[in-house]
This record gives sequence, C-alpha cells and structure tokens, in this order.
Amino acid sequence: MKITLRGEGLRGLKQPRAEGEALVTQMPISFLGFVDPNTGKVIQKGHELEGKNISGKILVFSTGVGSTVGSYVLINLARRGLAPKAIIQRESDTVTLIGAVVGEIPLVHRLDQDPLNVIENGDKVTVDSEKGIVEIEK
Amino acid sequence: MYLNREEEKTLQGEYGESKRLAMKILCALGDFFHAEKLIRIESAHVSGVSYKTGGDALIDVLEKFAESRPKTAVVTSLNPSGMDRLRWREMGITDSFATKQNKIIELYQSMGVLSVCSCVPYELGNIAKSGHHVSFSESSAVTFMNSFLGAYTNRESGLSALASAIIGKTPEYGLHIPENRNPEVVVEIDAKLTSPTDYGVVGYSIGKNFGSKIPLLQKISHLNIQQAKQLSAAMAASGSISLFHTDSCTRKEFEEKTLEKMVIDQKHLDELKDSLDPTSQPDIIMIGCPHTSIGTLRRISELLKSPVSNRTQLWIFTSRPIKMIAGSMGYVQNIERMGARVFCDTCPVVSPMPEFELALTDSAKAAHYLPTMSKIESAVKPLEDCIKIATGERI
Repeated sequence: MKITLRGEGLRGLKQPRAEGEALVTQMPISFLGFVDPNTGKVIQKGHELEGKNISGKILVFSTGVGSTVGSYVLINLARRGLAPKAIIQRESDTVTLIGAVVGEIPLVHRLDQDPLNVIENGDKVTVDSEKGIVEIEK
Repeated sequence: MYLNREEEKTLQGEYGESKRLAMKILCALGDFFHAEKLIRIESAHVSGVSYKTGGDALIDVLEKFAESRPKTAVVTSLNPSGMDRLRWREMGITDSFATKQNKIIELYQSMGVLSVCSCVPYELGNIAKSGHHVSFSESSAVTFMNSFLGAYTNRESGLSALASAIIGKTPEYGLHIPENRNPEVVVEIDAKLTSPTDYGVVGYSIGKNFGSKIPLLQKISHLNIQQAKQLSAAMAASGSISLFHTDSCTRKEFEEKTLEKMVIDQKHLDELKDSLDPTSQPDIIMIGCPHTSIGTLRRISELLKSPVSNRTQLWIFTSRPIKMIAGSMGYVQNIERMGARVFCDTCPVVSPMPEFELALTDSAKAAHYLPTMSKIESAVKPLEDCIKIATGERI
C-alpha cells in the first residue's frame, strides 16, 4: 500500500530527496542530550527512542523542544555523515529547521494528515523537501 | 519573504560573504515560516558557545561567518561557554578543550559579540521594553524576555540569533506577531510555592505537559525575578514553552473558558518534589542554573557559616561581571573561605563535568540535563537546603 502526504518543505537544498526507513516517536525531541553526536545513538533516559540510532533514518516526531543549541547537534551529525536522511515533523521549530538548513537535511512539516498517526516504525518513506511531499510504503 | 533593495543586495553578496550567509539563514527561516518581511531588532543574545555542545561544527560555522569580518549590527551578548576562562584547570578541563573553547570565544568577539558568557543577559544590560523586538537564543532567556519583560522574540537557535545580530533584523513570524501571543492553555496553581526552586519544579511539569503551548498561569500574580528565572528555565527545558502569561500581565481579548486547563494542587507539587529528593549523599552541589544573581550570592555568603563537608563539593556559577561586584562586597571571599568555589563564564549544563555520582541543585533545568549531558544523577532542593546539605547539616 502506498500513501502520499502533502505539506510544506525546506526548499533550496542541494539534494532535496531522501529515501529510508522510518523511525517514529510520539515524544518531542530536544537534540541536546538526546543523541550522542559521535554515534547517532539516542542516550536520553526514558525517551521512547532510547538505545535506537537515528543515523540514516527518516526521523518522524512532533516538534523540537528544549535547548537552542540543538541545531549544532544536527550539524555535527551531518558533518560526520550520521544525520537522519530526512526529518518529518508535525510542526517544525526554529532550532530543528536551522540544523536542517546548515546540515543539508531534507525536512517537511504541516502535512495534510498527522504523520505520527500514518507513519509507523520500519515503513519505507520517500521525502521530497522541495515539493513538501512524503510517500509511504507499508 | 519580501526583501527590500538593500536586503536583496546583501543576499547577493554585495556586502561580503559573512553578511550573505547571515541573510541566507534569515531567508530560509522566513520563507519556511511564511514571514512577510524582515523587522528590526533592538538586541540579540547568542547561544552555542561551549565546545562541548557545539563541537567542531560550531568552529566550522563560526569561521565561515567571521571570514569577511562582519560586526554585529545591534548589542549582542554571548551565552555561557564550557569553562571558567581563568580557573578552568580547577574544573578538570583539559588543555585541548580550553584551546578550542578560547578559539570559539575569540571568533565571537571578532564579530563584536560581547563575551559576557552568561545565560542571564537581562541582568547584564541586554534587556528590552514590552513590545520591542529582539532575537534571543538560550531557551530560558527567551521565555524570560517574552514573559517577564514582555519583549518579543522567537526561540531562536544560536545560529539564527547570530545571523539576526549581524543583519540587525529577524523574520516577522511566530511570537513577533501579537495575535500569536495569546494564551492557549490555563494552568491553575493551587499550591504554596515557597522558593524559586518550587517555581522551577512547577515549570518543569507544565513544560512536560504542554510542550510548546502558551500557558496562562493562574494564582501567581506577583512573580519576582528569581522565581521567573527558575520558572522560565524549567518550562523551556522540559518543553519549548517560549512565553507564559500570569493573571496580572495577560492580554484580555481571549475566551478563557474554551481553553484546556490543568490544575497543580499541593499534592501534585509535593509528589513532584518528593520524586526529586536526593536518595543518598550528593558528592557535588551546584547552584547557578540560570546564573546566580548578585542577591543570591549575598544570600549564600550569609547562609554559608561553616565549612563545606569533605564528603561533597559546592560549586556556584555566575557571570564575571556579577562575580566582580560580589567580590568587591566580600561575598565571594566569604563563600570561598568555606571551601566552596565561585566559577564564571560557564554553567552546570554546558561544562564537561568531572566524574561525580550524584549532583544536588536548586534548579529543575540543571537536574534535567545533568544525567544525559554529564552522566551524573541529579536531585533538587531549594537553595537553603542545598547549602545546609553542603555543610553536612541535617535538614
């Protein structure tokens, strides 16, 4: 089954399209203290994704919270080739967005259906940041 | 986003690579969040200073920014770094960390960013009037500026705040627009809050419950600065609350009855406080998240009447200007004579801490970050109890 979601994306990236496996959390993310920037592994105790690795995944979450230094965590991950392949948010936030702008990570939000309801862990997901389109294969 | 001719020229690189980069970031932000135009800001505050949190990516980005020697267009202050710039060896900081940390601070200074290295710029002259636009990062300062002073700022990332500082403008969206600042949820605080720490504990719970919504806090109308600091810091750490209202400062034109409501009663507060109690003797006690004010340093110097126990250490964090004033009054000497240390330029969250088992702090925000940032378990008590425990007194 193939589902297409339409919304708004970050434009002007060199490579706006990405394809990968979905990693979904219902919890918001504060990137500082959430993930080890050297490995991509989630280290925040009690977070739904604790122990998982966000590198190379299509990371799906509601919004960014907490520290305003979170952008640098994403940029450091991108610098080491360990960033998520793309980010899908229900509603984006400045800190996550700036991390995506500088780290060249495709990002979409404000989709016509709630991505946290539609996308499940392990789904094959294609993101087009330029067009704001998400395709999900179940 | 609409750009005027000057802004367009900046984006084309006519005023140098640094300004082009700054404008590019502001345009990406403005386009993404549908800002109509850029608006002037009064001042800015930039986070992303500690080498621990920013890493090599931070140095890369700053080097690119500093390339064509831009100067900030407005007064811009800097957040805490990863170490006391004079006493870093006492904090167990390595030479290589110190070298990189100094380089980061020098890069900021080269752009005219004031190296106050503090998370409470509003105590050091970087303040704004109600309704004035600023561009602040450092989540606790964002919430304080919006809520206590009534200034208008989004929760900027360190990088977007720096871009705004260089251009002197920010995209007009989010909390810069008055209609977006109305309360979205109501929190009735039906409990006795007896210390600034209690405000932090309550704020932490609100942030956890409401994520990024704008709460109206009922039954706490006379908030003082210390209470507002803890409240702001905690709700911006567990959530991304960038603005709260209280009964006395709210805008009236909304229908309160239709809003979702949460009640924090005495039982709820007591349970929260119990869950944050230390379960064993802490080996480090940390005060100063957000940075300790001059009034609190005076209070600590009065409370600390006997030496710090040899089973624990007491570290107090503040900014260098405040430490200088406290030093001239003899507070720092009184505190350090008892075996405690007063560090500047850094804080419990962004400094690479030496190994400790259990940290006790008066800050819900510090307690939130210590376990993941420094692998130190954490507990929370009001300032007075922290000082008593530091000297081995029973509470």
